[in-house]
Amino acid sequence: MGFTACSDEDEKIATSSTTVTINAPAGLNNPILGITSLIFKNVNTGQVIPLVNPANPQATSSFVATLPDGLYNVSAEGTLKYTVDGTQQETQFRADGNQISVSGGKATVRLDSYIYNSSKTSGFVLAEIFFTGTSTDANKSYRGDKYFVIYNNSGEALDAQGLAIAESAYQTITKRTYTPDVMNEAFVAQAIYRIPVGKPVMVQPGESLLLVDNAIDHRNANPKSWDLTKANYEWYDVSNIPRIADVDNDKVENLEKVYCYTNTIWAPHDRGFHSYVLARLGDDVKSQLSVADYTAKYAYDGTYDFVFPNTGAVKKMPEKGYQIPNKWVLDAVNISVQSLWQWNVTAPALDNGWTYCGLVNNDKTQFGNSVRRKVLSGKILQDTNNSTNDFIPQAKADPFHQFHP
Amino acid sequence: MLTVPQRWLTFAFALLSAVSGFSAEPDTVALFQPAEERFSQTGKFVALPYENPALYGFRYATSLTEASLGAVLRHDSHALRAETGTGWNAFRADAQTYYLLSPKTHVWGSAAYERGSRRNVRWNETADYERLFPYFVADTIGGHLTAEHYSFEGGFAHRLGRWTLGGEMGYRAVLEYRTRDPRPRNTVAELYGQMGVALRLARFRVAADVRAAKYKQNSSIAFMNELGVTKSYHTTGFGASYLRFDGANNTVNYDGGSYGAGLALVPLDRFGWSAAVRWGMETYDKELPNNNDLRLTNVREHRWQAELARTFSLRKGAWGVKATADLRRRTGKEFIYGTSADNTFPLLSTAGQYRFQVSDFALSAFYEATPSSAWRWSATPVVGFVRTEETYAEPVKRANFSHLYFGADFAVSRAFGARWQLDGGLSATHYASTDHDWQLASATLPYSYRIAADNFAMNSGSRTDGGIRLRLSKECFKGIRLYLQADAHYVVLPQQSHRTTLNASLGCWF
Repeated sequence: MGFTACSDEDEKIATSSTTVTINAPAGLNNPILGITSLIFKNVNTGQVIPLVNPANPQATSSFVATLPDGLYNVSAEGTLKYTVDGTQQETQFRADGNQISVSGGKATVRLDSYIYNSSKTSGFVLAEIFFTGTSTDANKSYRGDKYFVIYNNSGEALDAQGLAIAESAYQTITKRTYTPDVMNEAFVAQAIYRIPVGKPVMVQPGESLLLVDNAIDHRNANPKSWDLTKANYEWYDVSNIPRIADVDNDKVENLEKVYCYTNTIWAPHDRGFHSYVLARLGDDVKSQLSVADYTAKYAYDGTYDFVFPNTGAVKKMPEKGYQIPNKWVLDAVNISVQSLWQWNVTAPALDNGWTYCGLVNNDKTQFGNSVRRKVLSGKILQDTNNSTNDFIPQAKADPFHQFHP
Repeated sequence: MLTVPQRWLTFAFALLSAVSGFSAEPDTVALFQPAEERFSQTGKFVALPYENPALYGFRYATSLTEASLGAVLRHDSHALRAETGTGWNAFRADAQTYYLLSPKTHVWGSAAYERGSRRNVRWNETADYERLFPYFVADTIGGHLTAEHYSFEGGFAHRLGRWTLGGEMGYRAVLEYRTRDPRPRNTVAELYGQMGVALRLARFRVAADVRAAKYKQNSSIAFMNELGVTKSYHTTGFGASYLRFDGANNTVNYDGGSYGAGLALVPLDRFGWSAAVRWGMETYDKELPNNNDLRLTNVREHRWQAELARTFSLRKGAWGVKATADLRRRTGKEFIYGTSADNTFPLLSTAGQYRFQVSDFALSAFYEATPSSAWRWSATPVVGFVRTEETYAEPVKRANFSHLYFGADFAVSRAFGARWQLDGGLSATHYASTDHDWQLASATLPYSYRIAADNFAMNSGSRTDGGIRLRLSKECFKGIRLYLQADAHYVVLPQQSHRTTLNASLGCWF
């Protein structure tokens, strides 16, 4: 028994007939797309609505569904056939769209796809990024022990000379419209440090290199930290302010500093506002540019509009950095704060997802946590160019973590 | 010749008399009549019509002013609802008066202050949960909350020939906080007013009233830990939350109010037919002031109440029967926003996802005997059915359950000598679960899922409530009576748990 009565307050969930159309990558002859996965994720509520799954693929590049009104992130995957010299080729595609509005009874979603080959084995990858720092027994933060782990994810020994780690100039927690918008062609960096070029640095399959901020025994200052004197490399900055000086362990080789925005010392953003790539400054190991040649040619001098929240006044603000062409990027990891993520700052083809350590800004539970790549099988780490799937968020940081026995 | 019930009660009362050591039975009508009017079943059985100030103002024929200091201890071995905690320990001071200014004008007023600790509150950092659910702010830490409640109220009723006018205004304030992380600070302010009118028609008074209230709660959560903060969640019901704004949006405002109206009919000479219907609507918006006062959700509740009673006067007593219905219908709406630009969010749509309904029907009766002016006893049985339905539209979630309840209350009042009076009572009610239905596929967190599931298990199961109360009054100074009052309740709850409540107060009235 219950009491029910109809009224204006019996609001139903408004829905819209939504047509999703996926455009084939440009430049292909006779492209034919087939959708094997189409997922709408409600940005407001987190509800995941799978419209197409591999068990029920759609041999079409468009799909119509009725969806509750809302704001969605859309991802699609599928098969892509095209013709080259009269011969049909087959590969896979991905397509993504973020913050797409569905409302008004009828909505149209158009996604641009890109070629994605899941069977391609990766080479060097970023296996772990530790950016939060640790906490002390006195509940203070300790920030000198950050590190990156570069891992050989292939089946052969690879030369790591010239591998660069770079931090994005854009923030994943603040979406802006930059001019020029180069994201589909290049990664805009505000800090770039690389393994010196000139002598081979061979890394065996399944082995890794540890790149640290300060290669010292941090346990002296914080028993909850580690002894990083055995790191492979450290980055070192000559600070313009004497009281803010970097630490240099002369027994550990320094990375080559290509560029950094700060005049003092650099460390990865401690709350995870920026993304990172592993790249070379050249097409391959043998053709890597010098710092002078690179910085002369790849500067980024852009702007964005800043709107003052109280007055609505608009001011054009500069955004400077250096571009790393996407074709030079070996691996990319978008990082954010779980509750603050607004956009990825890499091209979708580099990284289609994102990961995190903090649940909120200034999350007191983030200390001592890192993002760590999952193991796929044996010595191979998972690398689908989607950090949401490929990484373990909030992993307990360990610079000496063994990915395989 | 005493009837069987009278024999049992006489035995019980003799026992009480033996304990107290008193045995005299003088006439004490005039001395304790104000309390008699208010505490006897005859005086309070018909209740709903007297929410109209025009009727309430002439409900009693005597003035009464009362002040008391008291304490309450309530402990649940297992929270009946995690969001309201496992206990309430408080100290209270209050004063109230009902004064016959003149034969045509009666006034009343009250003031109360209560300070206490709400124990082990989980998955909720917002005050007035019962007003604002399912849209509150939650986290996975929780803890004890210190709360202070203030209230003031005043009213009047005035006769103009066959007409009676009445009015009432009141103010309530709440301050709730915690002194360790996470540190919520919730301040509530509510102002309400009511106007009523009654007209003498034949052997009845017919009455109508309107009521309105304004409500506001400012809520924030601060952190002192140098390492940072913990995540907070904006709940949407069933352990779910508004993902997009979860995180560190810890400052929230609730803005709303209520209005309502009622019709009533009471007999002129206290006995006969009486009836009342009341309707009220309350609505509360939840806003994020740090996001340009973004309206996140709205909750709205309609409530219909009805009462039909017939009371009869006996040579030495009274009896009556009553049927009541209490229907609550609450709906919740989420506001869906598009892409934000510089902290402005365009509204895409609204989704009426949440519904909560309670339907309560009851039949009760009372029999009160006054063998002499020195003592009386009463029995009040009740039987009823209550159904609770809670649903979420998309994805589908529901929590429905029903109870059949039956119980009785026995009360005795006895005067000893010219200056003493003892009032006592026993009550017991059993709520038998008749059906329950639960569907919940997932929640924001495993923690919140467990909370939702546990709340359902505790509220849908059977429970038995038993209580005892005693009040001892003595005239200590001319016209001033002191009293000591205590009551205890024990509730057997599902999952082998229980609730224990102890109340005690020391006061005076005159």
